[in-house]
Amino acid sequence: MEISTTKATGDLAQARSGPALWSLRWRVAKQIARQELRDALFGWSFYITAALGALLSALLVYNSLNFVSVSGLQILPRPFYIPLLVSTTLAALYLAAWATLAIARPRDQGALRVLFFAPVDAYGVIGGHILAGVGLYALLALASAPLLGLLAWLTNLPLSPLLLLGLLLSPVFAAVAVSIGLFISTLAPSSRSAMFIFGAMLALVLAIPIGYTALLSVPPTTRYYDALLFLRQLLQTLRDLLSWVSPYALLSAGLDAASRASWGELLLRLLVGAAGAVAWAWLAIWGLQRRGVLP
Amino acid sequence: MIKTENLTKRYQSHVAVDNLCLDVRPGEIYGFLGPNGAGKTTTIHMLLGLIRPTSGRLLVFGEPVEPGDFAFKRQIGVVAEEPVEDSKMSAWELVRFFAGLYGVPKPEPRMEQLFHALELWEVRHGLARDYSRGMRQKLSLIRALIHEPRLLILDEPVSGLDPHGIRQVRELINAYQQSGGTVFISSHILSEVEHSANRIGILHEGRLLVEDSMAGLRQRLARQQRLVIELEQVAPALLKQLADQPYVVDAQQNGRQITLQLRTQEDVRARLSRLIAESGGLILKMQGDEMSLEEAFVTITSQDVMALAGQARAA
Repeated sequence: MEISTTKATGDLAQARSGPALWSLRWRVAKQIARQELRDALFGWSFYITAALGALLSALLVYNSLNFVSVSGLQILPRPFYIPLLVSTTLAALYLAAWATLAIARPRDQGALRVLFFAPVDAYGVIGGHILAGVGLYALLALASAPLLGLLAWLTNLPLSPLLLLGLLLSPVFAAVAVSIGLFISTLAPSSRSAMFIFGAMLALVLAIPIGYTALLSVPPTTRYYDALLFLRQLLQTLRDLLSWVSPYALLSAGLDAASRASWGELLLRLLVGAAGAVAWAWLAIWGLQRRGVLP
Repeated sequence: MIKTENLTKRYQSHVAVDNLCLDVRPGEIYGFLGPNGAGKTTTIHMLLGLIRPTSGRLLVFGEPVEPGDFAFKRQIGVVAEEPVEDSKMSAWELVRFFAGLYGVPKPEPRMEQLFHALELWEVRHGLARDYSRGMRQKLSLIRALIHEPRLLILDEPVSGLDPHGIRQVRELINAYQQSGGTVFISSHILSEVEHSANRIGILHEGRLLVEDSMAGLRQRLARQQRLVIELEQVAPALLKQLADQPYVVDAQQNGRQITLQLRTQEDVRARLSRLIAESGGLILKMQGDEMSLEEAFVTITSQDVMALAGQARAA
């Protein structure tokens, strides 16, 4: 048979120049994003997340209706804020877990090494996964919007267009969750340890506000009160810090700001979210370059 | 095409590749041989920029490969030692995905040609992860050739293939070379490359022991002989006495039969006969033959590395 070898030529010096490199990276990122999206859509976890989000939203709306009928309230402010927050938080959690495995698992299997036989670098791979993650979030968000509309129509509860605007802008916050997951994935020794680190981080993020709330109820007469007061102040500082770093806190604050038409706060949260996503993505690129692609 | 200058990779106290100087010329098939753990795959990983060398210089297509370089891989096709495909892609989709990474505009006609050549056309829509090891090996080769590279790097390319598959892959590699491509084949089996390689480098414990053409290697190995001696009975100290002779590389006993690997062009049979007679042995049969390349390769890589490296330099 005839095998030609003439096509893959070209000036290597030109290929190494800035614009050509970024064009190559963009092509790689698009290819990887398309493939990752396709792989996720062929799996079960995406649909389980979508179904769980829909179920929880419906249950929360049903709960609100019960509350209205029992309490006799005539006005229920923002009845869809909590259902939307729960379904988007669930989607962002799923994507963070997905991103946590996105690099570590193929590296364990040796498939990441094979991918890097092609003209691929850490920028293209991390960029592709962020694109895929944001795309998956957008699909989950798109799936939840008609459901909320249907629930609003069935229950006659008002669905604010401002909340839908918040939903439209929320992929910025999902990008933070994906980037954090990717950062863990790039540095973890294995996929199992990546999931362990992710679980530990999540537990820590949950423990901080819970711990703070618990310490609020400690009376001043308690033994070691001074030490507990210091701990409470420390937890308060960490909680305040988390409200600007955690993608879930940003998502909650962003949706809240959108539903209240607080444009300044919404813009601030969006800017912080975008900066966070870029920072974590940069750390993920650094992590992949440092840890490498070999198992 | 590939040039390394004192390329070294150290992992703490372990030296995986030690001052490696390779020169792979354009248009040739270069056989990179060595037993498992010799440092072949580490060298390939350094060539592809997957790991950073501890020291030394590396040039591919005449250009130095710097940390972070990846554009040069557009002109390289690679077949891995253990291909792993775990995605939900079919074989056809997987190759198209890689064609996209390489920027091949319309890969389908070439994909069709390669799938037919390696007899995977009928099963092209099957999931790549469900392929047998041999089929995945062929799929790796299709993926490596899809962008018509200038350089093909093959790490154990026929492992897991049946004889028919081995012939198909060899034909494809030869056709690729005839069209002007350069091939770098890494293997631990000499017979895998001895029919097609123009030149061979033998790596052992990270050091390049020999680099020569096939003809040159044969000439060098002609100095290595094997002698089979059958005795009436073998005295207890005889085997050690024989092994201690400077021209004996290895001595093995199997019942009344002793097999000696010799490193000399001299006829040492008379000296050996005298030695055996002095130890009270009676020779029933003595037969000498030239070692095959395979046996020579095994002998070379089992000898003392430093001594052999010195010998290779002297030769």
